[in-house]
Amino acid sequence: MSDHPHHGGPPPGEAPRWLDKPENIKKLTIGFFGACAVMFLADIIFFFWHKHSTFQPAEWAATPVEEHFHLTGLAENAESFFGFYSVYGLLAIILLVVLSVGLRKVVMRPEDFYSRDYDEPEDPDSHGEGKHG
Amino acid sequence: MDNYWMHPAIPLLLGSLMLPFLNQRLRQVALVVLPAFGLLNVIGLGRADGADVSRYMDFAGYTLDVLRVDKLSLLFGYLFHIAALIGGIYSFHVKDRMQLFTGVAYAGSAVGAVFAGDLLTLFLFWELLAVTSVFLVWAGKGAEARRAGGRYLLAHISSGLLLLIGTAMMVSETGALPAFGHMELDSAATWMIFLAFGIKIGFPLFHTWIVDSYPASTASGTLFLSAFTTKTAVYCMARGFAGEDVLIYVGAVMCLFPIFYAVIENDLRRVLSYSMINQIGFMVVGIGIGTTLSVNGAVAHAFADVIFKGLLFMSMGAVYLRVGSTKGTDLGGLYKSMPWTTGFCLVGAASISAVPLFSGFVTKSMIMFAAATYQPMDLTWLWFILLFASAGVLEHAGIKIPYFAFFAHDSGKRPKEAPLGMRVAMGLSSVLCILIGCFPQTFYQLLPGNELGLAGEFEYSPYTLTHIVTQVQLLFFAAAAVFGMMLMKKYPAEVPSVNVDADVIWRKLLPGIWKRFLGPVFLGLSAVEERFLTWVPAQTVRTFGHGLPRLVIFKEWSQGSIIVLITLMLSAYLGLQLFS
Repeated sequence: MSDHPHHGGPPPGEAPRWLDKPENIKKLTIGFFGACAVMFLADIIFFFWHKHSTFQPAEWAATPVEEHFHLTGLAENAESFFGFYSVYGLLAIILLVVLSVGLRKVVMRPEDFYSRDYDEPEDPDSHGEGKHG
Repeated sequence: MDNYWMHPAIPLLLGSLMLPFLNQRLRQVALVVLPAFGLLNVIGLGRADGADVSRYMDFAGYTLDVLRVDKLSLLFGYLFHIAALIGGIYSFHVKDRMQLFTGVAYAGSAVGAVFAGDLLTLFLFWELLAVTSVFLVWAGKGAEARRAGGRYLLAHISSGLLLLIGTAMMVSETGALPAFGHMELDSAATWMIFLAFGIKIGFPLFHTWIVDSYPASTASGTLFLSAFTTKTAVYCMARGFAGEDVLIYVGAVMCLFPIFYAVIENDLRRVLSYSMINQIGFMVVGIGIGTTLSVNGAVAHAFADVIFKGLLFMSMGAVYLRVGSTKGTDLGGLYKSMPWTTGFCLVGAASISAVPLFSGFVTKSMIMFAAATYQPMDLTWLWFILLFASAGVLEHAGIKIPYFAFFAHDSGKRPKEAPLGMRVAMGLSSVLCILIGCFPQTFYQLLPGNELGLAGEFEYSPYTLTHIVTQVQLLFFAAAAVFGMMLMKKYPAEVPSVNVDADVIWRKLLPGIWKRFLGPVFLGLSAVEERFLTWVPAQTVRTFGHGLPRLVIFKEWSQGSIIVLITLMLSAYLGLQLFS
């Protein structure tokens, strides 16, 4: 499979697939972000249905929560906030990626970082087809 | 109990011995028949009495409890046979008999370990796990696989040594062979056993053998490796140390740090290895909380994880078999020629991300729910961490793995679809992921439930309106963040690289200290030794003729001879403790 370089693109003569067409990618993107908007607004249903807090077991719903245990204020309030899970999911990933990019600056090394400690020659194919090493 | 049933480790352990002597067609038959027969045997054992059944065996003056049957051991018994069956079918194309023999024997060792009723029996299977599985690492190609195997063996022999010393200390304290049950962390002995389990379960700093060895193995080897070792340790931790608070903190760290490494790792099989530590982190947290619901959640999640993580490893294994690499920089656009593998990978991705109707949704949520409702201690912080880690799982296992392998930038590669056996195995796993996700109450029947004797009742229903809606919201917006950052070119690109983590202690810092400081001193002594040795043999030759072999101590020991030395010390210690 090494006859195609990394930035190969489809082999010549191959018919483009549905996903290869930019207009379809655009459709998918719009559809996905539209679905996100709908899911964000789905919290409206909890104006009509009771939103069971994770911090409150379903079988306890009949009686006031306070009878069972002392609620931890922050979590109970935050979780019941409109759109909490949407906002948390979004922010979590942004934070995750930003921190990971920072982590990469600290921990990234060339591919032979460990193997260069050994005198013996590497198998030529044991490093895949990476362009770095 | 009925003598009709045999010890559950026998079909796989004894059966594996015949694998090297069969031709490929018969091997394929055996790879299906052995685990299937073993599974039926375990089901039979489970039904034999309904209550606990034990069977004893005399060994070195001790009575070993080799067969403790209860719902917890049965659950893992079923699981390991299912994993061995799927792994066997996945390995239909494999011609390397050593891999098949050691793979099936390895599965049998794991089965033996979970049915062990005392610590010495556990230790024997613990060692067998290590020595059978290392051949799967060595089956990988290149010098890197050979060295990773050596490091793997060192980690597991150390774990075995700790387990043995802990057991021996308990024997000398009480004079009797300790049964394997709940332990308190109140003595050096139990701490050693705790650490022995901890090395195998992938505690932070000791986790490096996972990310080191799994990506070095073959397609089938990685699948087998991912199924048994860490999950045996999860079982042992749940059996021995449920409710230890320290596990809550350790588990939280295990949930968190791998997801950052997973974002920037280029080798997709290594991404899955980090992902595995993250998932085990959830289980460790569940065990640490120690309520009926949380520990059931932990073992349920272990069950689901073997299937869905196995499925993801299988899809990446198929890619590895066909392309020769699982590095993100070498892949992309493979869905065009590997549509089946792509589809199965997406099922695994949905399961691990806990999409409703897939298995992760009905298992992981038990742990999170147990954390939120835990009363003796405020675990709100933990719940926020677990929720963060859940979003992180979607990022690396749910999106990154399938996206960079099968979609993303078209690499131009058009590898053949995975062989039939691989596709059947992936299909079976996919069906299981969906069945568990769609019929959670049936699956929960298999769990130990209230039998664990822990605080609280086992009662949980994952499919509430709130849970479904909030989980879908979390996943959609986490995905939106990933795609949004990709569109804005803020998402880190795949780069051919290695990322150092605690590995740097074992592979750079300690060898560096040796090379710079200890080594010169130690090797300097070789001059003295040389002198002594040249003098002594000369004397002995004069007295006894040519007799004494030259034993040189002050030299650079190879990894192999260190392993031999540790094993010898271990056997000597075992002998001393047992026969004195």
